Amino acid sequence: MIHADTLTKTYGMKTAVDAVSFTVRPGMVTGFLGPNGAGKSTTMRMILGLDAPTSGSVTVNGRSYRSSRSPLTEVGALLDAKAMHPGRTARDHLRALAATHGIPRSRVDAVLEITGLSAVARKRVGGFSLGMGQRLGIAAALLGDPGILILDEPVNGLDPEGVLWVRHLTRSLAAEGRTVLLSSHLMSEMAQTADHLIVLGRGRVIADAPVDTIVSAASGAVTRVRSPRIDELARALAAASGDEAMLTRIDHDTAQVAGSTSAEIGDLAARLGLPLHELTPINASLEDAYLALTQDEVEYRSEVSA
Amino acid sequence: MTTSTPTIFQSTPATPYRLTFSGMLRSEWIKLHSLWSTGWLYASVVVISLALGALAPVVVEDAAAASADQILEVVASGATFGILFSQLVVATLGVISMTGEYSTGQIRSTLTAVPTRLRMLGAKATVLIVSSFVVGVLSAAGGAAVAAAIVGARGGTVAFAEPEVLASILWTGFYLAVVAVFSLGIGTLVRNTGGGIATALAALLVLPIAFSLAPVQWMQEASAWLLSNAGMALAQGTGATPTWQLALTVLAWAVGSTLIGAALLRRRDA
Repeated sequence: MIHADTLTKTYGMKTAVDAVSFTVRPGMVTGFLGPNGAGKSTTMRMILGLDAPTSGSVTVNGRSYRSSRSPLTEVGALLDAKAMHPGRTARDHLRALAATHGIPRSRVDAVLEITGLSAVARKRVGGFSLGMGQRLGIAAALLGDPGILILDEPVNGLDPEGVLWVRHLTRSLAAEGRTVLLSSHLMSEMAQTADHLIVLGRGRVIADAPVDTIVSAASGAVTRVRSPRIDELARALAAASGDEAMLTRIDHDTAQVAGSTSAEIGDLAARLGLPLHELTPINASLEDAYLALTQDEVEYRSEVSA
Repeated sequence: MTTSTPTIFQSTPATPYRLTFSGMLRSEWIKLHSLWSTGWLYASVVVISLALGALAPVVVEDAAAASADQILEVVASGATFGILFSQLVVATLGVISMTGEYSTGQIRSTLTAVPTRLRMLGAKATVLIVSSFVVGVLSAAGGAAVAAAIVGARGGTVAFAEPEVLASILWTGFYLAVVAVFSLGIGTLVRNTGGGIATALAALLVLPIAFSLAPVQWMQEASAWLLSNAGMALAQGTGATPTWQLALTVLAWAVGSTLIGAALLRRRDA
């Protein structure tokens, strides 16, 4: 359980994280989603006590991370693939971290095995690819068998097989009852991995809800309807639901209806004896939902020159 | 009467693993010796100390005719000649043991495992003290042994296990350990390898020259209290200043830089 309460971080005049409050719960994968510069990494660094909040607070299992008696077994973190000395071997890097908590060598070897790094354990980290660095970072996060995992952009630089592996790993860690907080700016990745989303934009929480809720809120249950008697149907829909039904004509016999479910439209048509040639619920993708949520919050927008 | 308050948030299921200071010491030891640079730098201390130790007997023209006191002095200076070089190497090691963490990003891994920053600094300092002391003593003993062997080969009556020689060897180790911690403090407050090494070397090399050349009376008098001057006098057992005052002086330099570094380490974002 991670709990942030009006967490704020300012750098000079710039506010990186602006009064952010949220709770990350165990047993599910929580996605931390937002464009670059939205404050995801800064928030994660504050959770781990690397950066001190300007105001507000964040606790891990009810306490500040710095006061933990066994930090590595409480939280495992991957902040970036470069948080390691390039001159050390993968194994020595992990051994040095493990030693602080008296974690045995057998566990070091185990996480090397889990992350598929056994063959390069004695190679120096400086020669690692970004993907191998990510795997080593994940190995370090798993060292203490922690109840909470914080992974900042873990699929960055991974090949498709690695991406799949991270997805399975995070899902199974959550299934074991652990708390998993995963950041990404890739919506497609979140759609397949996360159960719950906290969407950040310019340092603020702009959505905090289950993935399904965010998607359906954005999609607003739009249904495509095709009928040779579309005008009569449109009038009937407007009459039946007042002003709630929004109807957009697409073609001479086709319209998109928002505000009514496809079941309601089908029932109405049957009652009035109107023929339907098509009745298709259209779900917005998480991509659409995300873009809708963050369109005003993107800090670095690419300008299209005229 | 005491009442037990139930814990609202039980941390993760009981694990046998705990963050301990002895664990931090082991971790810092692994970090120190798992880098090739450490081995090379310490090895260079020993090699150069032996080489400089061989220069000490040059001052004696006729070893066979030399007095016991003269020979004692030569052997003792065989122990301490190496300091001129080894203090620079140990200073570099002290600086990079912290700045290397910042320049590589390792510091974020380190502080995630050990969020209690001052204890991390304490563990780093302890490991540096022990390893620099051991290397310092070994290299000083080696330098003295080389000097003694040369004097002996030239017909002198060799004195090695004399209190004066042993004191020089031990104070050399002590001084190098202090320089390592002083430089660790510099590295902690500067957080940049180039700037840290430049600062530490300036304190060791430039300050003594600047103070001795200064046309100001008090600066020339104060130059005896500079880190490298006091350390050299301490190891060589020369000068009018009592040993304990010299020892406290060099310690004060290390404590000073470490306290400033520690205060900044606690406050700054990693």
